[in-house]
Amino acid sequence: MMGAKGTSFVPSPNLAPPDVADLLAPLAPKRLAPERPPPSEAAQARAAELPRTATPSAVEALYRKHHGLVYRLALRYGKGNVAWAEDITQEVFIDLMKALPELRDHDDLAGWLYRATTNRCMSRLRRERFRSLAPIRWLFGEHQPEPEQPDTLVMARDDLRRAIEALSALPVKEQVAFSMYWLDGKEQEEIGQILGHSKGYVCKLIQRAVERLKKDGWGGFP
Amino acid sequence: MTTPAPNDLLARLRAADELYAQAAPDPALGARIGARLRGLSAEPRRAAWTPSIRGFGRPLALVLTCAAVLFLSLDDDTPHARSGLASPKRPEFAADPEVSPAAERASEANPRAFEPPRSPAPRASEAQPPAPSPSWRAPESASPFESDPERSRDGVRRSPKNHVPPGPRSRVHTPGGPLDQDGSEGLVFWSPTQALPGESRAPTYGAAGGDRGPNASTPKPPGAVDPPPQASCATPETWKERAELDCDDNGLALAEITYLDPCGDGLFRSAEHECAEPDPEVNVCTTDTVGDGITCQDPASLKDIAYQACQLAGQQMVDFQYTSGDCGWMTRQASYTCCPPIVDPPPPPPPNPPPEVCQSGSLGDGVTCVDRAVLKEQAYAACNELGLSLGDLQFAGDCAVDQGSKIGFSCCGP
Repeated sequence: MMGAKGTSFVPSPNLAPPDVADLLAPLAPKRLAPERPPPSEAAQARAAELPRTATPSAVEALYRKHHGLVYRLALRYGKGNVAWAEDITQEVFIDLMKALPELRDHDDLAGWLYRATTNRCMSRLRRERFRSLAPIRWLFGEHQPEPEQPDTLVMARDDLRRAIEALSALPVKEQVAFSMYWLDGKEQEEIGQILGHSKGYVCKLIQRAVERLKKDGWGGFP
Repeated sequence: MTTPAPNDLLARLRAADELYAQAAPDPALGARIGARLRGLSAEPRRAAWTPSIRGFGRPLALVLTCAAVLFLSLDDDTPHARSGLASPKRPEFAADPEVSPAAERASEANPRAFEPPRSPAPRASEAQPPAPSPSWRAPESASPFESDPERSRDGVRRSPKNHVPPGPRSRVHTPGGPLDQDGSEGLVFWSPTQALPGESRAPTYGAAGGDRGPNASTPKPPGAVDPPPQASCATPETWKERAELDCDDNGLALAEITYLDPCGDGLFRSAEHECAEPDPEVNVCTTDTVGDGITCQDPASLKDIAYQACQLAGQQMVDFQYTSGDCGWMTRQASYTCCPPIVDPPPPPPPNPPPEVCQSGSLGDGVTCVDRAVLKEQAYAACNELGLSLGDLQFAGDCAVDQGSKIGFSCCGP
């Protein structure tokens, strides 16, 4: 079943850079529970890393520390488009500067960045899908979008390119929910909290995505 | 390390994520973000609701267009009368040739428009009547400046169609109009008729600044020419002459004429006539002569020749006149007229002819043989003296073929 993943599931060790592993730890408390520091210590650590004031230099410091997580997620949803990912990264850290005064030790910066990046990517993907519709293109006087440049990172490998295109062909919500569940190891309930949907709806989104992918000949789902 | 199955999507997506994780953003991105953050902190915070209108040109234009169309449609359907803004319906006036055609077209294009803009009425001194059209008819007398006081009083209006003579009409003809040049042939015509120049004139329409304008919606016969603001009164003979000329111009004959709009003293202001293609088999009478004009011939034989000529043409001889009579009782030439036989209606029975008076006589001694022509000439002269015509002739006597010794004749006359 989709919502009953086995406890033996372990995210890929190469999913995130080593310095992000600590940041991702609070996002999967159950699965990474053995590696997770005690709550009190983690809270103190998180509180310590948050700057007191939302100055540009403070945000730049946070960028230098956490840009890997944001940039990786942006590259995933942007199909490896570097410019697309850089735009998302910039927007997310600008948002961080605006939201930083309200982020205190009661919040989780990595989790906030994860949520912010995911929502940014999802909003941008939906906007791009909407604006790619023919009537909307005519209305805004835009021409047929040029085919995206092949990703230099993964497009060299045909198998990866086909997999990314298959994922990108899904509806945006299904694509994001599928990625969060199967690639990031998020729980359905948490996904629902991030996307603003119920757990049941998230389960349905993931099921639909799997069915579409299976219909296209893809497998590997437990 | 095992190779994933060819269709293992998750394995490939995780591999792609690994590659993404190894990718580092451009160092310039950090500098850009830093600059942007510093700029953001330096500038005053923009109102969150301030939208950027860039890129909204087309949607805005679309919305405005839809709103304009909606507004116009609602405005068009707004019945002015419902709001009490409609002015009372004005009397219909004849079309004014000075009216702006654009305004007239606008009125036609939007029949629901109550009050199209109207040009001010010209003053009497400025009113220049246009050149009269070759064919026109006077406008209807609904104008308050109608020259016919009787019609103005009783309010009787006549639509032009009411006066169109009944019968088949294949087209409307306006002499001098564009239909004259098209060369099309119609069987029956009707056209408004204009008085000849020099006739009496009716008072000028609209000369006093009457309220006439482009809203004049008097129905006009198709192809009718807008009449000049002046109407002419003419006698029926003038109208008929004009109509005949009009029909002749088209190679037709006047079939029917209706005089309209009496203006007193037996005059009419307009007339409608109908031209019809003449039927050569029915309406044409021919006149010809018999005899060479030199030789004296028997009038009876000339009459026979004329009668036979009419019969050969399928007609009847209706007239026979001697034109040269210096041959005594003979004639050198005679003219005759052949007309189609009158079949329907049957001619009324001829009145009882006056009782014919005949007198008989004889000439010659019965012995001396005289040329028959001489005897006949003497008989002819005798009848002339009595005021009668020579009738029957009978020669007698044992003479040569062309001679006789005695002639008996009868002179008859009314």
